[in-house]
Amino acid sequence: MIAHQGILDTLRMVEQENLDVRTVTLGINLNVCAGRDPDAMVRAVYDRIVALAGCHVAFCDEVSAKYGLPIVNKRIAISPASILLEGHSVETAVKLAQALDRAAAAVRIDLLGGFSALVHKGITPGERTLLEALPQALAQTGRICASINVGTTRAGMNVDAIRLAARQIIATAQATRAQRGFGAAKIVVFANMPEDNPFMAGAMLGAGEPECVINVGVSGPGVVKRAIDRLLARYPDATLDRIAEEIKHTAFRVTRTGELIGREVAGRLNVPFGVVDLSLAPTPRVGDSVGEIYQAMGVERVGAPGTTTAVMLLNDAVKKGGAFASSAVGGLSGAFIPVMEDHALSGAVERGDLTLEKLEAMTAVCSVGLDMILLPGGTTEACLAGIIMDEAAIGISTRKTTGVRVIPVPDAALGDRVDFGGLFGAGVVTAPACPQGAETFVGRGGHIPAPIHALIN
Amino acid sequence: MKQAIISVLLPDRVGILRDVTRVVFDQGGNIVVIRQTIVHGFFSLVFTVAFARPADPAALSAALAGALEPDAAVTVRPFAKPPPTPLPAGPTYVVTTHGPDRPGTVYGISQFLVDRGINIIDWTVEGEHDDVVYIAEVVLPPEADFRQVQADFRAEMARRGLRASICHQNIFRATSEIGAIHNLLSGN
Repeated sequence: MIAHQGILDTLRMVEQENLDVRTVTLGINLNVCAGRDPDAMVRAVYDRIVALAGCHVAFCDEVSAKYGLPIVNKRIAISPASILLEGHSVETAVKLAQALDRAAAAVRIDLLGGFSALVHKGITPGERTLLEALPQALAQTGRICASINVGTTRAGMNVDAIRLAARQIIATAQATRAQRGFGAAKIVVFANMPEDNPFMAGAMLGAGEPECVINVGVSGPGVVKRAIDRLLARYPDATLDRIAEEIKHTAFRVTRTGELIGREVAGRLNVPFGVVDLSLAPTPRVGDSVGEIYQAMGVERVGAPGTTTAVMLLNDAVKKGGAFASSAVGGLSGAFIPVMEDHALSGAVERGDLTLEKLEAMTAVCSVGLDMILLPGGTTEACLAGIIMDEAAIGISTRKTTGVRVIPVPDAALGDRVDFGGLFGAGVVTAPACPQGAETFVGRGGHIPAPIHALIN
Repeated sequence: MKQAIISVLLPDRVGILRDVTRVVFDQGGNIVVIRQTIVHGFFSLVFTVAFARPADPAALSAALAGALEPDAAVTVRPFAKPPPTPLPAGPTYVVTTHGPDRPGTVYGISQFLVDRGINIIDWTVEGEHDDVVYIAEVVLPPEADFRQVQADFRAEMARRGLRASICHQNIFRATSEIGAIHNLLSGN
C-alpha cells in the first residue's frame, strides 16, 4: 500500500508546483550515414531519424498519460554532425541541416541538437565546414541546435576555435536579424561538454554513447521553491543547512520521476536508458524559476552579495539528492541560470542588480554557464571571444562544464528589451562592464595548454 | 473449522488488539493476515486465523464477544481458501478526486469504476482545507483502454465539480520509496 501522504505530496508537486519532465531526448548516432555522395548522405540521415524516432513522441505521450506527469519536450540529439561533413562543402552542411529540420518535423520534434563540432584541441576540415555553415544553417532551419566544444580540462583551450565561434555567433545573429538574432540562441559554446546532455541547445550524442539511447532531463524549480517556502513557514529561523537538506530530499523525488519516465520510454522504444539529468531548468513562468529559489532562501535581490553562495548551495544539494535517487545521473545535473528563461533572473538584470560579471561568478558554481543573455548589436568579435574564453577558463580550471549562449541582438543597445516568446523568454540587453581592452590578448589566438591538474596519468 | 476469517468492530480504546489476540491464542489459533483501521473513533479489525485442530466458530465468536464490550460487533466465518472471484489482474492505478464533500461522491466514483470492470483494492478519504480528497487504489482489467478510462473519469468527475486523476501507482512509489526504479518497472 502506498502512503496516502506521499500520493498527496506527489499530486501537489504536479498540479501546483510545475513538476514535469522537461525533456525526453532520444540520442541517435548518425555516423553510419557518412558517405562521399552529399545527396545520399543527407537522404540516409533523414531516413534513419524518421525510422528510429517515428514513435518517440507517441510513446512519450502514452507514458505521460500513464503517470499523470507532463513531458514538456520530446527531442532528438544526434552524434556530432561535423563527422558527416568530412570531405563535404558548406553547401552540403546547409543541406544536412535542412534535412535534419525536415526529419525533426516529420517525427513531431521541436528541437534537434547535435549540429555540433568538438574542436577543443584542433579543427578538422569537416568541423570547419560545420562552423562556417552555422549562419546559413540556423537561418534556414527552425528546429536545429548547434554546439561547439572549445576546451576541456584535459586538452586545454582552443582559442582559434573560440575566435571562429564568436565570429559565427555574430554572423548567425545577423543572418537572423528579422528574429532579433534568435539564431544565436540556438548555439552553445562549451568547455568540458557532456556527451549525454539531453537539454537544448547543447544536446548531443557523444562518441562513447550507445547507437540509440534515451536521456531524460527533469526539472522542478517550482517544487524546490515551494519546499523551501513550506520549511520556512514552519521554521522561520531555519538555517542554511536545513534548507540544503530540504532541497536534497526534494531533488531525490524529482530525479526518480525522471528515471521512471525515461526507463519506460526507453523500454517502449527498445533502446537503452542512458541518464537522468537532474538540472533545475526554469521557464519564464512565475513559479518555475531558479531565481525565485534564491529569493526563497533569503537573497531578496538576486545579484546581491551572497547570490553565488546560494547558487552553490542549490547546485550541490540538487546533485546530492539526485545522486542518491539514481545511479544513472548524467548530463549537466545542477542548477541552470538562463537569464531570459527565468523571470526572476531577467528582472534582476533589468534592474541592474545582476550583472554579467556576477553571472560569470555564479557560473563557477552552477551546472552550466552564461546562458540566454542578450548583448548589444555592436558587440565585437574580440569581446565575445573574450567572454567565451573567460567562461571556458572557469570550466577548464574547475573541471566542470561551462557554456556560453549569448545573443548579440542586431541593432540593439544596452537596456533594449527583446522577447523571443515561449520557453526562450524575454529580457533586456546587457553588456560587460568593460567591453574593450583585451583585443590584443584574444587576437593572439593559439591554444592554451591544459592546466597542471590535468596531468594525472 | 481449520481456518477462519474474523472481523471485530467497536469504539476504540487501549488494549483491543491484546484482548482479541489473547482469545485467539487461547483457542489455539495462529493469526495469518491482519488489518486494522480506525474510522471516527471506531476500531475495525479483520484477520484470518489458522488452527492446529478444528475449532468451533460459535465458541470462538462467543469467546471474543465475552472478552470485548457488549456493543462490539464480532463476525467469525470459516473458510478453506479465498473464494474464487473473477477479479481483474491488470496493473494497479491510483484514483484521486479533489473537491467539496457532497453526498453521493463515493457512489459516483465506485459506479464509474464498476461499470468498467475496475476493482477497488484500497480506499481512503483525507481532508484538505475545505475539500475532501478520495484516494483509491484500483486494478484495471488488462484489456482496458487506460487513456479512454482516464479521459472519461476526468469528464465524469468534472460534471460533479471534482478534479480527478488516474495515474499508475509507480509514479507515487517512485517519489515515496527508495528502491531502484528498474525494480519498480520489472514488478509490473
